[in-house]
Amino acid sequence: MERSSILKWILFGLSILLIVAAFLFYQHIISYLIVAFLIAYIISPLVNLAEKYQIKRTVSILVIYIIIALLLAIFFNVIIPQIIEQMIDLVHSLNEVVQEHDDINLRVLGFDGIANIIDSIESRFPQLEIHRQISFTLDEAKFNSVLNQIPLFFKSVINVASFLIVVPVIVFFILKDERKFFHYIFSCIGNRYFEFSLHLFEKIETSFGRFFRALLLETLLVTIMSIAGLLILRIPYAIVLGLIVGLANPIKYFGPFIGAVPTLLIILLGPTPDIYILYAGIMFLIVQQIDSLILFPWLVGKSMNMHPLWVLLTVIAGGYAFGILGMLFAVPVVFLIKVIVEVSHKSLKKFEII
Amino acid sequence: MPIIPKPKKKRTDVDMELVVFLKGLSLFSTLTKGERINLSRFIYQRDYKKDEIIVKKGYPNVVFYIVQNGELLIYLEHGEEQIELRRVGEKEFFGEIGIFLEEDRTASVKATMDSTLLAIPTTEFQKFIDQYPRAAAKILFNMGQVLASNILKLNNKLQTMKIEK
Repeated sequence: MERSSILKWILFGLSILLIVAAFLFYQHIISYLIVAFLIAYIISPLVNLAEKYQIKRTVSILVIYIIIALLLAIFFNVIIPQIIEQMIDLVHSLNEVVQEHDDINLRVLGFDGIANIIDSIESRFPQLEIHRQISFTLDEAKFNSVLNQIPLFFKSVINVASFLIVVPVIVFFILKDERKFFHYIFSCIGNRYFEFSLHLFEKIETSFGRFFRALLLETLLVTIMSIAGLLILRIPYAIVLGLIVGLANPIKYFGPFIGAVPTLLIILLGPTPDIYILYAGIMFLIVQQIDSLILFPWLVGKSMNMHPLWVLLTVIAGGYAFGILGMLFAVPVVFLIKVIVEVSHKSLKKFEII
Repeated sequence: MPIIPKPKKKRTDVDMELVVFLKGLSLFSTLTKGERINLSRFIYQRDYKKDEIIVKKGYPNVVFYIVQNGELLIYLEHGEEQIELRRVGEKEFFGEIGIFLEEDRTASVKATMDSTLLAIPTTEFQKFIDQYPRAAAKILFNMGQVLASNILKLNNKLQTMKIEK
């Protein structure tokens, strides 16, 4: 073996070691970086648009930060206290129920309407034993284990605080020096792979960017429609509940059901008459029909070339692996990998690398 | 002894040598200094060794190159033979078609000596047009002039060939 090629292999090995070492060193902040890149990716088009009108990147980023801070201030001062109050009430009432009754069932929780419906079903099909199943699900140990989780949540508040401070700083620098960053990366690439990497990056950015922005727009529109519907029905906390519906919406197939649960709980536990469950259900059904018949095919459908069965299996697998967040991010992540594989294969062939 | 303060060097990420070089190019000669500084941020400087292949026929046309120093050969491969089409010298450019059309490379290019090229990715140039439309209009006008004169030259060549026949 020639000396130069031995040297090349040694350098290659050292580079790999360096990458692994860097990965181990920075492993705890990788989640910060991922979130920061995601936020920067969403905000970036706005900063680029402002730059077209000769507004400096630093200025436009700061303006966007001020707007976000104002929105968050409104959110935390007006909406969050109401939610916390409602949550504390809910936990207290559940606690009382758990302590007072050995056997928990729907009547104890105040869901008389549903209990009556189940009664009538059970009278026809006694073998179903629905009440016994529900009592089993709602047993004391399970409630207590859920309640014990709450202090752990507050322990993680410190982590959340550091996250909330560090992430905006990272986002700021990513947005400000976006071009320098990419310029540096592409400058480091050897001549043989220079054009290939530019082509690959552009194709991935175009395909995934189109999909991701379409998904965001779809989520925004579903959120607005849900909030509007809940406001019309005069259901309490319409804005927050609509936000939950909207945020759960990107979870394909399961999202609409997951998103509707808090609304139904608020109607059942609050002063709103139970019949509003039906109205809310109809409203959600209309929103979902508009989404699945018009918005999704129009916005996301064209850019996402994935078979519906594959999407379904991906969502289920994501749920098993990482819970609700897994369900939310499984499809975009799998789609991104699919795009990278497809585009890389095409580009590698075009540039005669394989 | 009077203390002469050292002139403070302004911290900058701009390669002023490149900015000066851009002024000498027909494409960018009408740009203001500020516009050339902005443009320089979109440019990559790439070094190629003698005989190194820069692009091959059929590759996607994703980068527009200007020769900063050195010389390039544009050629077509016919079996094992290389048919020379033209040489590209200092301050000349190739790959401009990629800015206007999504066509693959129509010929191969290699360096005939150690060369430094200025590479402007077509997507980056699109971003430059979006962000600095006034400067971009000047560049596109200059580019149009170069392309039009090339067309004229080709027309004259064709006419002479027809007359000779």
